[in-house]
Amino acid sequence: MIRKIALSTLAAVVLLFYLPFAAFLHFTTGGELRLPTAGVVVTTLLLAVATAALAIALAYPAAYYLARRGSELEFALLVAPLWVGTLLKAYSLLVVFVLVERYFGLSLWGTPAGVLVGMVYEYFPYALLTLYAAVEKLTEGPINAARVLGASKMQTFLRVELPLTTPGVVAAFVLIFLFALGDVIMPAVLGAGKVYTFGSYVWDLYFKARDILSGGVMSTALAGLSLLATYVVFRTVRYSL
Amino acid sequence: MTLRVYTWLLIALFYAPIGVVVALSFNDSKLPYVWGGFTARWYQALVQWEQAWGALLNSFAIAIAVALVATALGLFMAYALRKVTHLAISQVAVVMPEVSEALAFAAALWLVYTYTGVNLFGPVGVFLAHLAYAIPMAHVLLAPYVTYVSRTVVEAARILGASEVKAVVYIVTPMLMPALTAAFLIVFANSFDTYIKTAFATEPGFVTAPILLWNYAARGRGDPTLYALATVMLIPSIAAAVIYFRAIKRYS
Repeated sequence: MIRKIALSTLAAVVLLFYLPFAAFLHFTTGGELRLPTAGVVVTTLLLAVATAALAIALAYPAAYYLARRGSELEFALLVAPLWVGTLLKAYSLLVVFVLVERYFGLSLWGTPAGVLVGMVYEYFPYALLTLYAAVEKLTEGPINAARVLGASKMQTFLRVELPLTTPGVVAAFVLIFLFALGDVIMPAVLGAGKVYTFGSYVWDLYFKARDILSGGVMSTALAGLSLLATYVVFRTVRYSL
Repeated sequence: MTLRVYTWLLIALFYAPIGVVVALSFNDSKLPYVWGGFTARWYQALVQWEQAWGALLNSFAIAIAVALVATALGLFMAYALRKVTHLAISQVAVVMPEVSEALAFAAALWLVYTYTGVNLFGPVGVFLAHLAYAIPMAHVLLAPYVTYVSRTVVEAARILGASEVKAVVYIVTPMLMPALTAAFLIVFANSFDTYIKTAFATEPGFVTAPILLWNYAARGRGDPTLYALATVMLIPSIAAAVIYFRAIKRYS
């Protein structure tokens, strides 16, 4: 009986998550598909790449430290923001931006930089977890070998440890890049409508244009990309670490 | 040493924005950059704001229902579908981009409406939309612990004559209590403060706490009552995080 319940639940999940594929049928029979402009796509891609790169750059040293000498408390503190809702994070940043503007004269609200700060803030824990897994699986062998053969600590890191953790870096990059592609809340709250991304476009298709079919195709394209990327991530994480 | 300092600096940086909002909710001044002393009056204002109460209660009810159903179904799935491919489907569903998954539910509800005339937008739609995301999440969270317990113990119970349902109810559930609590709380916190999935599945008459915060805050309004609302909304997340890390310690 439990097996039946479990299987029907799985079927329901699959059906729901892959339902927008059905929207393609409408366009094969001659519906008009509304594509986003090139500008929207470029903004989204640039923001997503910058978010992924920045989040990884920030997270790598922390992940390295946590995997080697970190305490449970430090790990818990860095991962816990995962459970704070995106909207709450965006709202707190909005308040911080007001303070920053007042005291440093730096205006972040409504700029791409502000959205970038928000997205890095949101996706940092994902970078940390992925990189942590990569660094933790490094064995002492190659590191000791490099040290014994006369490499300095810096050389060991750059020429042995970093290359060995590259799959983790790639996985983290792909994961965050995808999350950032579909982000809606950060561009809307921190971008103040001036930073328009792919996520905002799908959002507007549904809420303003009420064109659920075009929206379905767009979101399916995004979901398809993420399926592919998740596959790549799982492969690299499973086989090369 | 430098790395340790760096890590703590990051921790401080990541908690600062949330800390600022919590601090400002006790600030006796309407301006965020003026500290006017400690006060609880914004919380009094929040208590008197009926719409906020309604929204918080709605969020709470939805989150409790979603967490209960998702934990139960997630446990069943983790127990019955132990194959790697089944887990992979759930894993993929969990990392789905948020707009895609939200729009998928909107499309599903819309299809139901067009073909059967049943309008599910509103509380039922929000419940289903959250549930569809929460089930794979609970599955992924519970799977490692269920495999850890089920191999020998369940076999033993089954050989001694327990039915499958009995084995799950009397053996697996009690043994997994910490993991179940953790999954329940994570799903609860997630459902409590999710905005996008709610926005796509609701109708204007049904407002949850994140929807209310969005309606007022997304336009850049800095009303201290909203800081109080945001602080109240943090409670489930903090509780979930603390209890989760305590619960998983028991298995390591």
